[in-house]
Amino acid sequence: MMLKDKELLKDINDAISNCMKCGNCMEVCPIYKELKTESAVARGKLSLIEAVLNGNSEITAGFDKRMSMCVSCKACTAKCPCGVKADELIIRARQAAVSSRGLHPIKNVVFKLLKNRRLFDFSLRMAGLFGPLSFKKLPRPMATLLRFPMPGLDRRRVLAPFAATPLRSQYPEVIKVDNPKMRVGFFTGCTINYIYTDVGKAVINVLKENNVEVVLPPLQHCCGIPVFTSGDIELAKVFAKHNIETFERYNFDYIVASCGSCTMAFKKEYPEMFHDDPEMKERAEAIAKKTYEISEFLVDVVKFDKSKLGEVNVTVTMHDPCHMARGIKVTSQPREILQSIPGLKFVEMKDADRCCGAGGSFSVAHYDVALQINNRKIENIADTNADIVATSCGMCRMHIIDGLERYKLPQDVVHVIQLLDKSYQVGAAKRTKAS
Amino acid sequence: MRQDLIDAFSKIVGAEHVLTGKEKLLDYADAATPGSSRIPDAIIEPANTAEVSQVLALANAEKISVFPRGYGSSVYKAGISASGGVILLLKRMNSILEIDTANLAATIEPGVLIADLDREVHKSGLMFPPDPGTLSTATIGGLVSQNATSMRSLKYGSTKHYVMGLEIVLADGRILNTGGKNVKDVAGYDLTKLMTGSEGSLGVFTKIIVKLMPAPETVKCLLATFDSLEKASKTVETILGDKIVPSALELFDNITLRAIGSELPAGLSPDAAAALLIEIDGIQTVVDSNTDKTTAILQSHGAAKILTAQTDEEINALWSARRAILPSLSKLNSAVLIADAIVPRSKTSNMLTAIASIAAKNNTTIAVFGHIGDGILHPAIVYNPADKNELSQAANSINAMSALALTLGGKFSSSYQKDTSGPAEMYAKQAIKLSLDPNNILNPITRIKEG
Repeated sequence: MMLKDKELLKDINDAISNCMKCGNCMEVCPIYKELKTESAVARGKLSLIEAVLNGNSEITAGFDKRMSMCVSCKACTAKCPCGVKADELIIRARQAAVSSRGLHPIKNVVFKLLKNRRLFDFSLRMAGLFGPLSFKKLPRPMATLLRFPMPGLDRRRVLAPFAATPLRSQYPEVIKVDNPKMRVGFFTGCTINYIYTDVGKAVINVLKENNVEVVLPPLQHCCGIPVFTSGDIELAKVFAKHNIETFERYNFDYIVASCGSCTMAFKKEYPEMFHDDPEMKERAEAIAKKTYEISEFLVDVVKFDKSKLGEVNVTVTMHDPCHMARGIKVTSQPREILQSIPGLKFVEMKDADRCCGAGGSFSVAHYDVALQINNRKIENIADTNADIVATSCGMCRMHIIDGLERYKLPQDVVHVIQLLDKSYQVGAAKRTKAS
Repeated sequence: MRQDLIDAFSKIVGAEHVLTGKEKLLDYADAATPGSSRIPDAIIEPANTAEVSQVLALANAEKISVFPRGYGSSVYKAGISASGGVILLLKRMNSILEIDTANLAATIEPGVLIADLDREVHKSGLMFPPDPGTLSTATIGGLVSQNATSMRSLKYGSTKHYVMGLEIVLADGRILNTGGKNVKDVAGYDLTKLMTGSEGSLGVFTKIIVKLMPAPETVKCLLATFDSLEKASKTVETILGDKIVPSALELFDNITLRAIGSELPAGLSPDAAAALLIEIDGIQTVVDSNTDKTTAILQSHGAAKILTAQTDEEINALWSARRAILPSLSKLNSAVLIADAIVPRSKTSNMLTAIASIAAKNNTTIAVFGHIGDGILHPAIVYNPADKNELSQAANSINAMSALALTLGGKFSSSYQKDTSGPAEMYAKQAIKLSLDPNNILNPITRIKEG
């Protein structure tokens, strides 16, 4: 057993040995900040991986548990003076754990469902249709509570309702504009297709305003990041390959996504997943080169039209999702968009790029820790006195709404693009009125 | 470890604060010291002085070794077990109990991070001068245990100059208070001084009273590169000879510069043979005049490039290059063995030349950086301890450098090498250790036993 476990991690031996155990990661790790235990922070996790590599330990349930205690926020990697990519090594350790001991039973069920695109789509449509039966709506927008206990979900948690009709079913495959200056494929991702369809609509509206033809490839599927970070690399590759093939067929000028994690999957993780498969790697890289996060796309590529914007008189603060800030390093463009909206007052919060605690499935598995991390975010939001929190990730949005509800704070949380969409709408209404 | 002992420790600190089980123990098998990983039998996290006292009393009665630890950022084998036993983790004791602005003193618990203390006292316009390279992960307890020197020791002295008083739990659990907030607070033996730098071998600090200083009005920083080490060290002699006392005067050699590479401030070449980082603080007019004088000296000594930093941001950029040294070096090979070579300032040039020939002779990579203004150099051997050849070359280099430092009238120490104390010094040290810790439970230091 030990020998086998050791073999599973052999390829990261050199990367692990670069860790000098200085513990600088302790300064930035959001989980460590709450738990103060060595096993919570990258140094402790890497020590444990090293012990397995040295044959001093093996991949046990304890190993799994420790490796699961990571939000993949990449703060340690950004901080590490030795350049150790701890977040990636922890995901590699999860992969080894999946090979050695198999997936966690709940994840196993969920991933089996996720793997079957049509069944997954059917289930989430049903969840949207029958949602009101199992979820109780709260007064605030996009917020519900579970009516009945459900496996793996904490009943205190404020969740978002599933959409009655998924985004991609609300639109034709091709959304035409009069004089298209380019044609883009919109990778919606699951949260936007099935939950936050408001974001997807805003993305489509804004692109239309800028004469961009939008295509919604119906066969697109989950980006695979949740599966990848859980350590099921083989399944993640299946998703990656499917999405690459799906988008290749169209020969788009560009591909846009409006979620930091999905964008990161296309731009960084797909080429990396196929590092030992030159043909697929090349194809993944071709797709990666065309892919942009929506705010990055509007600012850097489209140079979006600021002349048509109308006034939106609100005070907005920005939360940078981990995968935006450290995954694809897009933080200035969303701010540029917000600051270009007439009437909008932008205020920075303290530690805007610090993890909110969502961490994808992390907040499902470790809800209490996720709340503790979230409390700091909510306090920073409260200090700004902003009316609205803008962000670029559905999971962050849901988790921050949960926190705001807990603190009984009135702020709403929206995607950056929703504010831009609003501004275009106000501008259009004003022009109609004037004429 | 026996279950009844674990139960007894659990009763003192609470079961959730006694960690056992292989995976938890493995987490604490390492600190930032290469090649010294050792698994303890348990981790105990006390919350206050009373708990520390009871834990030590029990450990002493049962003759269990105790290794105090803070954040485990030491490169000198501190905070890790040498022989099973328990690690006494002091992270929970992390309160700043008092900042007394009238008496310029702060009372703090051992687990407080230097960076946190700095931040707090700055609010009152004060500073805590000892500033180790690792201030965001170093605790005050560790700083005092090691009597750490810092970047600012040239002007402000080392940690021992800032420890006014201590609360210490002795090996048998007795609680000892030394010193206090008064400037003169001792008659007879100065136990505060004895305990400072005792490396956790005489007692466990539970409260520390430190001296604070008014924060300087202004700070300026210079970073200059040279095409030879010789020019850099002559420059240092001239600066100090001209009665300029910078708050910091740090050396980087070429290996160090190359290792830092991309972390160097823009405009600096990693190909330079040496660089000096000079910080000047104080009253605006004095800082301005000393900066001008220093710049003139740098120019007349042939500095290739001089950067001046004035804003907080610019100064931080220069300092972050300094703080990047150790981690950057550790990227070059599997481990870095860092030593202290302390020589009279006038001999630093000789020491630097000799280190280069020792490295060449033993076929080792030795980077040299450090507080050159104080004559404190850190030769850092970059090697792979798993390779027998590299290990023996490293050992030979350490021994050669140690002999050299002594010949030049200096001192040498490293986590690798044995104590170089003479017989009388060793006798005194052993007598102190054995009278305060007769069972040798506290951080049983091999070099004292071996002496």
